[in-house]
Amino acid sequence: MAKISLRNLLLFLAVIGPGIITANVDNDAGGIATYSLAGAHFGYSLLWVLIPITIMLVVVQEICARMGAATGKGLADLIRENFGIKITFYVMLALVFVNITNTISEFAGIAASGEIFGVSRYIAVPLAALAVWWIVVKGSYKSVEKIFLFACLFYVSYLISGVMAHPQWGDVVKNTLVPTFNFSSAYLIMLIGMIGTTIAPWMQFYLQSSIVEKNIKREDYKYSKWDVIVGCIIAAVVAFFIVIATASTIFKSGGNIVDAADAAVALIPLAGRFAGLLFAFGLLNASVFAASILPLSTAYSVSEAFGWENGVNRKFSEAKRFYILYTAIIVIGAAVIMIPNLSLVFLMYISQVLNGVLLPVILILMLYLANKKPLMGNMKNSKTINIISWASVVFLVIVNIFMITSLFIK
Amino acid sequence: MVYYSQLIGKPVIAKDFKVIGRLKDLTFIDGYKYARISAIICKTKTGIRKIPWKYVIELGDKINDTRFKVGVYLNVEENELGYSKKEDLSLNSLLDRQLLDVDGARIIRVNDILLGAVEDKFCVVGVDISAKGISRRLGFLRYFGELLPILEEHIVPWEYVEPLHKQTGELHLKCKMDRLVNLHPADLADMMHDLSADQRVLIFDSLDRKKAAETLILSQPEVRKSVFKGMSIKRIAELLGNMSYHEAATILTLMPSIENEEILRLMRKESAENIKKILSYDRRSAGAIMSTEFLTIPDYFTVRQVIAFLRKKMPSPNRIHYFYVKNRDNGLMGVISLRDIVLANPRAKVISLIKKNIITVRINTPVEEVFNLMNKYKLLALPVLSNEGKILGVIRMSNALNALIPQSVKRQRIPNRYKKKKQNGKNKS
Repeated sequence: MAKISLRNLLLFLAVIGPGIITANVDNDAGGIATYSLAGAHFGYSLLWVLIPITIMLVVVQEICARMGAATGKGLADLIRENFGIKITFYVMLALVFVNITNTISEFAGIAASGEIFGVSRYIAVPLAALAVWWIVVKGSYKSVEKIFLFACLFYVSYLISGVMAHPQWGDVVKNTLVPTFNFSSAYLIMLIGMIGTTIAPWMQFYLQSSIVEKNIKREDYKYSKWDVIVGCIIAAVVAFFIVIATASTIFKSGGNIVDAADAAVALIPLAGRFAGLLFAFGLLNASVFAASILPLSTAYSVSEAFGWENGVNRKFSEAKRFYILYTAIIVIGAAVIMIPNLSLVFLMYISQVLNGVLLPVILILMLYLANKKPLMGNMKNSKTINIISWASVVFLVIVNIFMITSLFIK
Repeated sequence: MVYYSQLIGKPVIAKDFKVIGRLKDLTFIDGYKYARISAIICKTKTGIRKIPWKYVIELGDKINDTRFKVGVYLNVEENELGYSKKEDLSLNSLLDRQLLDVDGARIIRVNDILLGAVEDKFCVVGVDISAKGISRRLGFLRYFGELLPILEEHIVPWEYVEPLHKQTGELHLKCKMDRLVNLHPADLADMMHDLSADQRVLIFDSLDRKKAAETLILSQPEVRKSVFKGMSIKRIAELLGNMSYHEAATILTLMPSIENEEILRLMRKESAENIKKILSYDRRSAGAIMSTEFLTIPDYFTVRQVIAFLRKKMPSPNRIHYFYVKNRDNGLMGVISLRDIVLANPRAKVISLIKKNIITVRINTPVEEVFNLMNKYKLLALPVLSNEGKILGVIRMSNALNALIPQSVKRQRIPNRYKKKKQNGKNKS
């Protein structure tokens, strides 16, 4: 344990950002929906899963942050330089598609939570799209990061609505620490869904790019590591309270919900109007937040991979392709949601499958890179990290195979 | 002309039409304008072989060999081949990597490499950075070639590129990065921003001291920090020794104070003391931004003597707006601009031409006040005086502006079209 002195604390505050932001965006519209459903359908019995998920998340994110600090290059850069154009091209193609569908689901989250507050989606969605676009195109890395960190604060709303749901704390603690297992297929699918939503491909790209953009060096890495760890723990705590909120109310009263907005509405009679609205507000915040980061992350990754000028510190005219891609993803995401009576089931289905294929590929590429001595020098993966991370990768591959097959069976 | 991606994996065929193996890589020797291909690396059944380029007689399709569309034909049989052991740079190590485009002053990524015959030698002619290069390597061009007419070729000639990464071990020494001399330090500083810490140090190490110092001065603070982190204290001291005192002082304010002392200890005593003095001034005051390089002339000089003096003194200091005229006790008597000297009668006495009521400031005058004075009286520079009326330094408009302009403005990048181009007429555009 490093000694905590004022100097260390200040150095930590200077590098804070990438890790916390990335982990928090993880609780996006899709994440909140999954955790809400986990609580609503299985009560507290899935809480224990959050602990191994957090550990895996920390391990994976830490590797990315370390690669960013050690090489000064983004993940897409490294993939292009070490695996050539073919792998890069197809990875990017899948990434762009997955991220576009994710962005669509973020805008769906904006539409649904907006409607709880009585705002029509035809107002909320374009407004949010414009705001998100504006912040990034007109901002610099520093200002964008500040806004994002500020958005992280609003996740507190889930903590409050979780407490307002009057959970049985005894049961909560028991179910968190003592794993229970259930071999029903619904339970397994939910478990897999929770893991799948927590570790997503785009996160690795986003985290590494922002570490690089923030100019974090090898020497600063020990502080950056804490940024990652703290971020993952915050994200896990938020997920924990989302599960608690729905488990203590909807599960108990035997209600049935299909998404996060449902959960917010269902909370109103059960935990009070304020708790329900806070839940909806949390969803709105998370969706807007993720709707700006996902397109940004995609634009970064693709520009890096193909050698286009990139970065929010550039102006539109200097990094045209970067901004066009960024804008296009937002426009597509927002436009799809505004088409009346459009069913997204098929699109989401393909997205989940691609996500499931892409994630193990990226993790394996990452582990290969993080073990490359000429690249990482003395920051190469240690043996312990390698054992834990390979175990996690193998586990994730199995989980993803399960998920894809379960999707096909459905 | 042929693209490297069109050769990779193609059969290597001996004189007796026996296929020896497949082309895996090419090695080259870097030259200023072109890089000559020195050998082919061939993957055979028994292993990797390096075959000197002199054995290659033909690239492409041979009419009396219908087996292959493209092949690498050798002029000897397999058992007559000599093998090369030389460790030249390899094309595979360039592909997909970042390079420096010296002409456009930017970082590019190599999508493909264009090869061709120049003066009877097979050479690297340029690098392809276009989307067309990507589609060619993905094999799309072969199938959808006609469907992709919108894709434009974009080749950066080899003479304008500079590799940006270390090749294994000593090989790296062969990339001397001598093309960097064509770049203005301000452009170099700009590019530094886009590079990783290792790449920055690599470039700095290849610059001569003066250019490195100039680039460092013009770089963003965080770039300087990262460059210093990868450099020895001795080299930093050396670089600072090539700057003016106030520039060195500005840069030192970014370093941890412990390292500052160590650096100053390694510098010449006189420089170290002058820098220390500047460091002791308030950062937002005239003392901290003034330059100690200026020209004073005695009051008995004629105009002709001033010009002779200037010629002798050149090139230091590199920017001159005014001459300061002082009397025998070193007191400042007046000032005369370079323009007035040039226009005056060579035989005239300087003392009769000078302006006597001069605007001056003190060491502790705030930067804002300095700027307002210069702006109000439209001065290009103004002197900083000691309490005894002795001239200590000069503040130029550029120094004052640099201290006043917020980082957010400085950080704005200048569009490529303003970048300094080479002036030798070889330019494409």
